[in-house]
Amino acid sequence: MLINISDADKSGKRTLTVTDGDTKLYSGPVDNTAAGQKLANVGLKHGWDSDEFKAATKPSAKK
Amino acid sequence: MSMTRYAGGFSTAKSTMPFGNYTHPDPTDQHLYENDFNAYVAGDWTITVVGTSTPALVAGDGGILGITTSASSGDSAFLQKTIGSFTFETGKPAWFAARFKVSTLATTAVIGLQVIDTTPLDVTDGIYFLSTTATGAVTGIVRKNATTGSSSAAVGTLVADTYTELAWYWDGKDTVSFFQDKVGKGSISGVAAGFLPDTTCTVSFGVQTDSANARTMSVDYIIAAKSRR
Repeated sequence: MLINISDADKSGKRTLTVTDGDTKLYSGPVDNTAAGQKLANVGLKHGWDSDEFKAATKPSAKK
Repeated sequence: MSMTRYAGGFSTAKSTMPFGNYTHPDPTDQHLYENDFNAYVAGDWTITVVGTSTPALVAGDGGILGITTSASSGDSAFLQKTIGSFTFETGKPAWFAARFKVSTLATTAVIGLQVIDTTPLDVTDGIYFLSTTATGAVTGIVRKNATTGSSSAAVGTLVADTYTELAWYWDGKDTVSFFQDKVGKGSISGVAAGFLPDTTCTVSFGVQTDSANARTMSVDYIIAAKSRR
């Protein structure tokens, strides 16, 4: 499994991308490296299709 | 130097046990993970990368896995064997050893047994080694739940682009001893329940660059074992 947090773009945003072999499990923007690591830990702990991970990826959850 | 030969074999098992007449020590004595990196399968690992990095075997004596970060300060690459398979218990000793090097000391390197987590440099549970950027000073860490118990001991120093072996031994009672290049460097003792990781851990290692340059960690071998007795 590859958990990738990209380098920051011009606006400082990064992208969290999670793949397992050829299967993309998740891809979405994160505010910074720590936010990406925190979000990915939810996926690692609960599963990438779990309610916990889905809740963590909602815009309101990032506030 | 003459060699002592046990042509009939030697055993750690009683003769009445399944491996009692096996000509080697009972292979079920320990749960053993060892990787000399003659081969590498990316799918065996949970790889957390900040920036870009593709760990791969590199040419060199001994079988070597190379991990190179991209070139922004803070970029990193960490590998953790999927899935966790080591727990720590009193009464069951455990061992870990790894030989590796980092290209320069402007890095933070980590290696040992840890819970699977995207932040191995500050993980909640594990027994592992953490280097200090610039100085290369190595700290041995025994951590349970991050805040419940975290103890550390100075272990030694990394030298840029120079292989070293770091090792630890949990005696199954109350002490974790740390070694560098076969020499004892320090230990941590205490009530096991107060500092021994209580979460399933896995082989874990990686490197973060602490300057705007790509940095490389080269891993020769890793061995982890836990007694089943």
